[in-house]
Amino acid sequence: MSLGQTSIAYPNREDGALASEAVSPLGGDLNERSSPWWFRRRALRRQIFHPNNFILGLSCAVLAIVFLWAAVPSLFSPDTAVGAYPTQVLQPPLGKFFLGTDQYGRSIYAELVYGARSAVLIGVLATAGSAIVGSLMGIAAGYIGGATDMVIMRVVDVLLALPGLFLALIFVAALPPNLMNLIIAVGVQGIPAYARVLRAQALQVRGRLYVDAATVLGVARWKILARHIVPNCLAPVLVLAAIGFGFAIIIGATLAFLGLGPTTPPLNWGALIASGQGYVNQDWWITTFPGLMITAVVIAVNVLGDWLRDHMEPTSR
Amino acid sequence: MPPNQAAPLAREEDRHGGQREGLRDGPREARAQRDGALLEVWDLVCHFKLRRKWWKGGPAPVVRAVDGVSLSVGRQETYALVGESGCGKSTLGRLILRLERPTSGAVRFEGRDWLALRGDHLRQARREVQAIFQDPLGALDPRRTVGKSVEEALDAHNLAKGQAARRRVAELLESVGLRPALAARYPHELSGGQRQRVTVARAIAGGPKFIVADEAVSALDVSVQAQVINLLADLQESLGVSYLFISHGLATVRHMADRVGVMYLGRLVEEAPAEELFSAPAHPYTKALLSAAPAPDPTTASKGVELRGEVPSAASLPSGCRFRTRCPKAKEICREAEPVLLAVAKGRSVACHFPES
Amino acid sequence: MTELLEVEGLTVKFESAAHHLELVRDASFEIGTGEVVAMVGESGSGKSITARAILGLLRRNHRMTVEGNARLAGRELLALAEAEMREVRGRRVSMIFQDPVGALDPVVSIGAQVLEAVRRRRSGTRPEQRRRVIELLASVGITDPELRAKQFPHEVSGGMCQRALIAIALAGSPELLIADEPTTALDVTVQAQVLDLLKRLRDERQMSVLLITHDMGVAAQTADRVLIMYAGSLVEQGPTADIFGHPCHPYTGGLISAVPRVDAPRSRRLVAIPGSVPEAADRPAGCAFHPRCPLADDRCATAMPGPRRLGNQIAACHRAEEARDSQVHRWQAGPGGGGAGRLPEERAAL
Repeated sequence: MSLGQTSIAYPNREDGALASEAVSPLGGDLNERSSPWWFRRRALRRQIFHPNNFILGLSCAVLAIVFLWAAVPSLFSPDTAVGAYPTQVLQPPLGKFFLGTDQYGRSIYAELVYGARSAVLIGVLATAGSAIVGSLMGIAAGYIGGATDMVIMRVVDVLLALPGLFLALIFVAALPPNLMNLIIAVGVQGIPAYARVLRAQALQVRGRLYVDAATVLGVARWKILARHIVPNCLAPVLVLAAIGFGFAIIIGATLAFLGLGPTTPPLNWGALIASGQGYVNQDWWITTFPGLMITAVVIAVNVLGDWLRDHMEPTSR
Repeated sequence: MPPNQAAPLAREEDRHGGQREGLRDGPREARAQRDGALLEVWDLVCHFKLRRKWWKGGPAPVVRAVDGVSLSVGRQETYALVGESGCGKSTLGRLILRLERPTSGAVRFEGRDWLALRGDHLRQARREVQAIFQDPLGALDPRRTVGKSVEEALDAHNLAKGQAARRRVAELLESVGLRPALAARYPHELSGGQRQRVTVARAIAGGPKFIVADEAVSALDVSVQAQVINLLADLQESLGVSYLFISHGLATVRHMADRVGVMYLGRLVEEAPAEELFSAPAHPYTKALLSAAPAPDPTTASKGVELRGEVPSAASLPSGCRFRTRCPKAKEICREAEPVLLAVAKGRSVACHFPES
Repeated sequence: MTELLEVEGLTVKFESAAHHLELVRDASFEIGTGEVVAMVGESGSGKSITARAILGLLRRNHRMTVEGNARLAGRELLALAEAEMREVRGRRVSMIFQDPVGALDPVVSIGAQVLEAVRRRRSGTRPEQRRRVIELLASVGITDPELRAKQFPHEVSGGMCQRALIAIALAGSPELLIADEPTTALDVTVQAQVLDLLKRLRDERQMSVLLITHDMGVAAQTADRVLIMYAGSLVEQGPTADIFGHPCHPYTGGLISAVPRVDAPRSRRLVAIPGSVPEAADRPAGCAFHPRCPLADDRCATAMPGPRRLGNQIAACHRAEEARDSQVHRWQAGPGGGGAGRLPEERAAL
C-alpha cells in the first residue's frame, strides 16, 4: 500500500443513505409511487377519511350498512321478513311502515334488511369463487404455457362466447333451485375475466428478471410460482373482484327475478321486484325500493372498485 | 487452447438420448481438464425465428443472435465478452445460464455436458453457475426483502435453514460490504450500488465456480461502478470464481479481464489476452471500439470517428464478412467470403481477411 | 467570447408534506456563444433539473419553485409567461433527450415530424418547407435523406433517431441546444458519431451546446468548459483542460480517476469513491460530499463551502488549494492495488 492511501480515511456512507425518504421531483413522494400498496396503509387511511372523498365515503357507508344487515338483520328490523300483517297490505311508505308494505302485508324495509344476506352471500361467495378459480386458471395458463395454456384458454373462450347472464341461466336451469346453485351459476360466469387478466399478468411476470434470477439460483419451479409469480400477479384481482361483486349481485337478482333462484327463503331483492311486478302502476314502492337498493349497492361497489384501481395498483414494476 | 478450430461437438444427449451426468473422457476432455478449462463453449448457435408477416412473401426471417461461438474459460479466469448492442453477447450469457435454448452447439462445464442436464439435475447443478444482471432493481423481487432474496439462494440448495440461514445472509451481506441490517429492507429502499451488492451476495451464496456478469456495472453511477468492479475482483481472489464478464464497452473490462472476446453480429471477431488486445488490436472492429471510447482526458485527442453507420440487423446479415458494411478496410473479398476465426499467435485469434499485424 | 446564457443563483425547491428539498442549490454559470459546455454529474445530482428549470419545463403545480436568474442574451427567462417561453423554446433554445426512439412519435414518419417543426417556426411554401426538411436531415449526417424522411422511427436505428431529433431541434435555428444525455442510449461507435456531429454543428452554426452527461470521457472529448454537479450543487467549473489537468474539487478528481479507461495502465483494482450519492432528502450537513471525501475535516461537516475562484476554475470546496496541489485527489491506487476506495467493512470482510 502506497503512502497516499494511508492518509485517506473512509467513513462509511454506503448504507446510511435512507432511500425511503426519497422524493421524486416530478411526481410526489417516491414511496407513494414505487412501493407496493400495502406499504402505504397510512396513506390509504388518509385517503379514505379525506373530506373530498365524499362519494367514496357514502359508498363505503352503503356497503357497511348492507353487510351489517346481512350479518345481524334482527338488530335493524323490528319485524321479521316473513312476519306479515294481513291487515296492512299495500301500505304506502312513510306511514306506519317506513317503506310501506307489499301485497301480503310485509314490511318492505324488513324485506330489504332480510334480503341483504342473500345478496351479500351471492356477491361474496360467487366473486371469491370466480376469483380463485379464474386466477388459478389464468396463472397456470400463463406460467406453464404450451398445451396447458391452449386447453385452459379454449375453455375460457367458450365461457366468454356466451353472455354472462345466459351462462348463469344455463347453470341455474340445469341445477336444483337453491342458493348454493345460484351462487355457483353466478360464479361460473365471472371466471373468464379473471382467467384472461391473470394470464396476461402471469405472462408478464414470467418474463421479469427476478424470475430468471430465481431460475438461475436453482429455485424449484413450484417455489418460483408460489413465491414470485403468484404474489406479483395478484394486484389486479382485488380491483376485478370489487367490480365483479356488483355484477354478481345484479346477476343474482336477475336470476331470482326470473324465478330461477331459490324457491324458499332467504329472501332475495330480485325476487321481491318480481313479486311486485303486478302492482307497479299503483303500488310502486314494492318494486322501487329493492331496485334502488340493488342500484345503490352496485354503484357503491363500482366507486370503490374505481378507487382501488387508481390507488392500489403497485406502480413499482 | 482456443477451441474454435475444433469441429463442433455433437450434443451428448443426442447420441445417448438420456440424462447422463458422467461422460466418457475423450481425448479433448482430457486436454480440457489439463488446461484447467472450467467452461467450454463449442460452436454455439442460437437463432430466433420471427413471425413472417402475411403480406410479405418468402420464408420467416431468422435472427441469428448467436451464430457459432466457441470459447473456453479457465478456472479463476475472467473472460470478457465485448460488443455493441445486438451482437449476441447477452444471449450467449443466457444460453450458458440455461435461460435460453440453443439451436445447436455444446457447452461443457467441468467436462460435463452442461446442455444435457434436465430437471432436478439441472436445478442442483445451477449452484455452480450463477449470474449477476445489469438491472439489480429488476433482478430482485419487489415484494420481498433483500434478506429474503439472498436467503432464497440458500434455501434452493438446502444450505441453511431458519436462524442459521439468517446468520449466513448477514455474513454474505457483510462480505459484499453491506450492513447486515439492510436485510430487512425492500429493493426500492436501497441505492443502485447497494442493490447490485445484494445480487452479488445472492450469487455467491451457494459457492459458485462460475458467474456470468451481464453488464453488471453498466447501470450504476461512475463512482459506484468502480466499487463493484473492485468487489468482483476481490471475490474472485477470495472465492476463486471464474467470470464471464459481458460488457458493451472495452474500458469497463480493462481492469477485470484476463482474456477478451470481441463479438460482432453473433460471432467472435477477435479473441486475445487482455494485455495484447488493448495494446495491439488485430481486428478493425476492435480497433474502432478502442478508439471510440472517450478518454476522460482532453489531452488524449480523440482519434475521430472511425466507423460509419450502425450495426446492421441480425435478421439480414451482409454477405461475406459481417463487418464489411462498416469496415474502413473492406475489399472485394470481404463481400464474397466470410473470414474464419484463425489463430494468429499463441492465444490470439482473429476473423479478418486483413488483420493488423 | 460573449456570454449567451447567464445563470445566476438558480435554486429549485421541492416541497411536500414530508420534505422540503433543494434539488438544485444556488447554481451559477455561463455559456458563451459557440461554446460546448458539459454538465457532468451522477444520478440525482440535479443536472437534468437545472436544464429543465432554465427551459421552464418543470411543472409548477408540483410544489416546485424556481428561484434565481437565467438570462438568454440579456433576456430573463425565468420570469417569462408560458406563451413567451414557448416562443423561446425551439426558436432560440432547443432540447434533445436521452431516449431517441421514445421521443419520436412512432406512427408519424420521420420527415413529417421534422416538417412539423419546420412549419411551426418558418414561413414559406410547402415545397420550400419540404426542401428545408431534406436539408436539415442531410445536415445532421443522415445519408439518403429523401428515403429516410419516408421511414418511421421503428424502421431506423437509435442513432438515426437521435440524428432526426437533432434535426428537429435545429429547425428553428436555435442559439442554444441543450442535449440531455444524448448518447447514453447509443453504442460507443455511434456515440462518437453523434458527439462529432454536435461539435460540427457548433462550428458551422456558432451554436452553443449544453451537454448534460454522466460520462467524464464524453465531457473531456467534446466540451470547451465543464461544470461538475454533485448532490444539487455546482461543485466545480472551468475550462476542460484545467478541470482534467488539475481538478480543484476532490469529487472531480475522484470522478476522473473512477472512469475506466482503455489506455490506463492495467491494474487489478479500479480507483473508487467510497459510499454512494446521497438522496435529495438525506444530504449531509455542511459540504454534501464530505462523508465520501478523503480531505474532509471538521469544517466540511458543518459549513457549506461557497464557490471560490482559483485561477480559471471555480470550486466549492474549503480545501480546494490542497485538493489541487496534493496528489490525493487523484485517488491513486498504487501498483500493489491496496485498499483505496474500499469501505472499511468491505476491507475487513475480505
